[in-house]
Amino acid sequence: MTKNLIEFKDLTSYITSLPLTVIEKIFDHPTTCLTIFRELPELAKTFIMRLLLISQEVPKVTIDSWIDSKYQDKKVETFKVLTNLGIWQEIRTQAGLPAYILKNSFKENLYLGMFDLTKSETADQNPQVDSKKMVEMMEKLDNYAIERWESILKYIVNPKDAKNQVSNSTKEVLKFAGLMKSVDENYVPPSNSMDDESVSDEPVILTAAAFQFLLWNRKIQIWYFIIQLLEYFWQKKNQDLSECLTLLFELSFSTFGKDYSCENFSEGREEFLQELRKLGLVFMKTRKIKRFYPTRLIIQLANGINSGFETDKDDKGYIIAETNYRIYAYTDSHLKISLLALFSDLMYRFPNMVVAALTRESVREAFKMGITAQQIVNFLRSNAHPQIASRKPILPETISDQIHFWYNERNRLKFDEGVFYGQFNSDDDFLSLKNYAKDIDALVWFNDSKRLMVAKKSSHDAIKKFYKQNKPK
Amino acid sequence: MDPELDLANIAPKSASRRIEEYENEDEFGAKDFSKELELKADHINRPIWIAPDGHLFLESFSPVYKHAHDFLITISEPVCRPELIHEYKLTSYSLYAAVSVGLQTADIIEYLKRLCKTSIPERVIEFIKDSTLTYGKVKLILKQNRYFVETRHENVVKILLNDPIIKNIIIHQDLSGDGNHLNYDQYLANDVGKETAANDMFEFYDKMDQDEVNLNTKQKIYLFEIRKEEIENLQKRCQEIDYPLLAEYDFRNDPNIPNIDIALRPNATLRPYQEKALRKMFGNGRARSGIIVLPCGAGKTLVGVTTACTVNKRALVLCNSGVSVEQWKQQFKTWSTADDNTICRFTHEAKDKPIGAKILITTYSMITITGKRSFEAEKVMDWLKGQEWGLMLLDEVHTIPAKMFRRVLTIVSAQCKLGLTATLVREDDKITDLNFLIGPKLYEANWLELQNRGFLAKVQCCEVWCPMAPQFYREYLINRSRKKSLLFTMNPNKFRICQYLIKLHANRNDKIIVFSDNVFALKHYAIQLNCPYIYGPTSQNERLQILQNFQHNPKVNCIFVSKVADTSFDLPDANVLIQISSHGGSRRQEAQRLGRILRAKKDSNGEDFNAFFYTLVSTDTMEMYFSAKRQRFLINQGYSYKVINRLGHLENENLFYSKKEEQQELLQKVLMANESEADEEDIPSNVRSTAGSQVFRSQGTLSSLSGGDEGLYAEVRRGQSSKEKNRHPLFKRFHK
Repeated sequence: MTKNLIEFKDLTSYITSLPLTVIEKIFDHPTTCLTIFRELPELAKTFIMRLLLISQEVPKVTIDSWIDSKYQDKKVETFKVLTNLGIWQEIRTQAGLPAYILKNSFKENLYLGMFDLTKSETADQNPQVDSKKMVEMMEKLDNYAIERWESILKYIVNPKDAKNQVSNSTKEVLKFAGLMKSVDENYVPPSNSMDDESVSDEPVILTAAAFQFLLWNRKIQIWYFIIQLLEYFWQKKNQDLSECLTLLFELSFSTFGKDYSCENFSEGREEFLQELRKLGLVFMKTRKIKRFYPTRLIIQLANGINSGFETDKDDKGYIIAETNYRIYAYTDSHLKISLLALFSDLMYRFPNMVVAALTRESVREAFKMGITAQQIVNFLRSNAHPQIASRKPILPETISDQIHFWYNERNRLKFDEGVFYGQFNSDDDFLSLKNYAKDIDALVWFNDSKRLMVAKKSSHDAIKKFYKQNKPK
Repeated sequence: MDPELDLANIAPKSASRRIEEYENEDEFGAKDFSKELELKADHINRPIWIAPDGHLFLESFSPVYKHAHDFLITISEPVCRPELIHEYKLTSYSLYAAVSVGLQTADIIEYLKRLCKTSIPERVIEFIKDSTLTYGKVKLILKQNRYFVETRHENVVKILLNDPIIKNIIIHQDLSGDGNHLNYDQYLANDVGKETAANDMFEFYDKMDQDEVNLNTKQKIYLFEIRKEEIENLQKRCQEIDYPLLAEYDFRNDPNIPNIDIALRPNATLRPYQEKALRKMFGNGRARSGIIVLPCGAGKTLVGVTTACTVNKRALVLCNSGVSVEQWKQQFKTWSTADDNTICRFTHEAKDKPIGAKILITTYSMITITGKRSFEAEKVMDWLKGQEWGLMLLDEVHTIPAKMFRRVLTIVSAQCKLGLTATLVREDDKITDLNFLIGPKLYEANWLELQNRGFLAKVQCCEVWCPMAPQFYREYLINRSRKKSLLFTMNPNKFRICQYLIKLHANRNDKIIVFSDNVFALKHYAIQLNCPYIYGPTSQNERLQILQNFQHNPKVNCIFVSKVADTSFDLPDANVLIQISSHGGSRRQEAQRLGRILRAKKDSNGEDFNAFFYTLVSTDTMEMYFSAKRQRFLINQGYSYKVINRLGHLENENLFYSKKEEQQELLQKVLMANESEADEEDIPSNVRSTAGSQVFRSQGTLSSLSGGDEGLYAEVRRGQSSKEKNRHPLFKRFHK
């Protein structure tokens, strides 16, 4: 019941899931090869490094000999990853033995990436940059990026109030990603809906998946969103996925605070770049000036996307939940407050603290949106104020239990499949079958006067058999 | 005092003052103060927030928590005190209490400013000023049998001396003044210099601690004597002009009432919180009247005994049941040097000779009964009325209705009144009247803190959900409301769970009390499970016998009691309490019952919990609503209820009513029970016969008519229409 609604895919598994034709295309760029390489498991990296400078195939037995047989599992796994990503190919040696060789494009580009990346195509920035100006710019970029990303989160939490802050195309991606859903099924978008000048006012609310999304740390949120964005471009817009991916990888190797040209971008790349701009991942003064600054959000993506789910260290917990169903949240962030308001009644707002109460009604409101009890409990736990972080359990048991009870209240009907029997020819028929069903403990309901009965579906075969055997001739 | 004086006149008019409602709501429906209040730069070091509507939030993990807590408990009412963040509320009553223990308007505001993380809302400052400027400024003291009015404020002296009525009451020392040019300084008693301002924050906190004791010696004091026979007029007039008189009793200098020469035994050691409570009462060497709130089992009786020893004057102790009269006597003998000659009981059954007693212990109903008394009782009453008492101790003060209490006050004249209670809540919110009848709340302890420091048992509160047996639920849905309650109490699943829990705890050698308000269920459960039971009609002797057996006989591990045992039944060894039926949504009853097992246990074995409080509720019935409501008080004290929605292995336990046929039989029995049996126990009491003008019929035994039956329950007022109105619709339906 509380299984994850959306899964976070790391880079490797995402690329693995793509068709080989796409993968091959993205191997054409040194940056992508290098990024993928960095994301691979250690053992795979070792294999690649050993094979990188060898131009001929290496027999499987040789590779096997590199690994102690104790680590058989790991080896098999690594083989699988490399094969699935199309990084190496399995071929036969002249003697007919199985052997492996790195894919040529990957090999060459990785080589370039590792030893020659400084000559990368986008690195054409102006060498004379005023360092003071650059610091100012960095600050500006950081603020811009965070403000943009938060406004998207705000929109997810509170679509009505924040609808002007998010572009229509981002809204579409949110819906595509299953984070938002339309409330009004008959809603017809105005003809110019994809036009960013007008604001789409389709009534939407967040989904349970979105709540889970909001509980992730920012890095994972962004990564998840980017993958959804890629999928959206690929599936809905039939864009060349490899173009988008390579752009992404290039960006992650760019230098923070420097600007890059997008003069020669293809249409697909340009569009993808604009989309990233709306998310706060890159900054452009205007569309017309063909230069852009990548922000820290995207640059950080390249460093250890796989680092896991734990919340950011710098993002301290702020919630104290008490046994009297009160929640005290030490925050003045509008976003955090609106998140809290999803499942609690806010009572007081002080300049640095909010008092809220968990009530049956408030929690049920959240359940109606599809948020689960476990999600709320996790949220309260993972954002616990440092003062209670050492308490065991972090969240008072009463509170977590009660939230679950309120949740289970909604699921009290139990559905069992049954088979309905009727149109008996005689009372005897009916009674004998009813008694049989009763004997084998399968009778669920019956009505003697109308000669109707319901039995468990699992016993249907037995009842059928009994009926056939005792069928009046 | 005029007994028919309307209650409304008791409280000064400003007592009903409230802070204006606040309307600035944000988009989430919260009261938004974030714009209005200014966050101080060092807010992390300050422990409280103040909302403009008078609510205060205190961080209990702040380094200055102790100081802030002491201060807040003085000036405000605790709303809830769980582990980390406590909520308090400023009310005009709480501020009245604050000024009466010596805090001043300016102090309160200054302290708040220093403790608060933000700026203080203007409205709160205004409210504090409004509520405190005139309160607690004037004291009435009795010294050497002469009455004096004492005040420290020159402007108040002016007002009083220029008041046309009061002017005539005062015995002027110098009659030459011509009214407008009175020489106020002639009343000046002493002048001990000015307060010095504290520079450092921590110094300030320390000063706050000491202030309560020292304030009185620091400023000018005006004293003027008044004519004794005009005391009542003075009190009335002061009320009218919004300067209520605070009564303080200078017991050390009162030759009028002889000392009774009792002292605490050396084995009586006061716990820190008891000392603190007493310090508040005897802060300036005189005795203040007021109420001390301590959790059940935290040693209220010892506080009472100590007070009696300190005042050392003739004392009258009022409790609400015969059993607790015995227990008070026992406590007096344990903790003080008082002996059988000093202590007398005045109850229906006791054969003591109360006339001339130094410590008299009796029940509220004995004093207030209006019916015919025996010749001897009549004589005792005459004597009692004729005496001037040094101290009046009021046990379980929250249980007495205000009207009855007024009767007590007209019959007994006491210099100092001390109310003791565990739960200053009443479902009818009449509790505030007590503040003006007895005096302000002097001290209120924090339950959780006492528990953590080992003064109270660590209790695990559980709410056990018992699914309604299907056939019982069907009847529940179609039957009338009175029968309904019997149906959910007699739910066979509840019975089985109860039996299971008794077995479980009996095997651990625990002592178990089972509470049932419903007499039918009480008897049925007890007889079926072969346990002794106590309810209204059980005689005093039998009660004491059962209680003694329960305490000392290892074979009696479990007793069943009705609500007669709610208050003041002292059962020190009981550590498991199972509640199978209760009085609607009464928060107080819940707390009182918990109190039965709160007394700290000796052998805790290092376990997390050493006492258990189970409430069995039938799911999908009204009990669920009641249960939620009942728990509110204890939740606010920081307790948490664990819900158990499934108890395993019931099938294997060989319990009653496991078969459908047995359950059906039980159902028939329940359905056969007549309606009156389905009711909660309606304890016959003469509270109501004295309480109001309404006529009501009581089917009582002879002993109950004569006041022998105890258990005064003000809450069972089916007949009182005025109360019906205030009741939640749900309860109205339930009590039809």
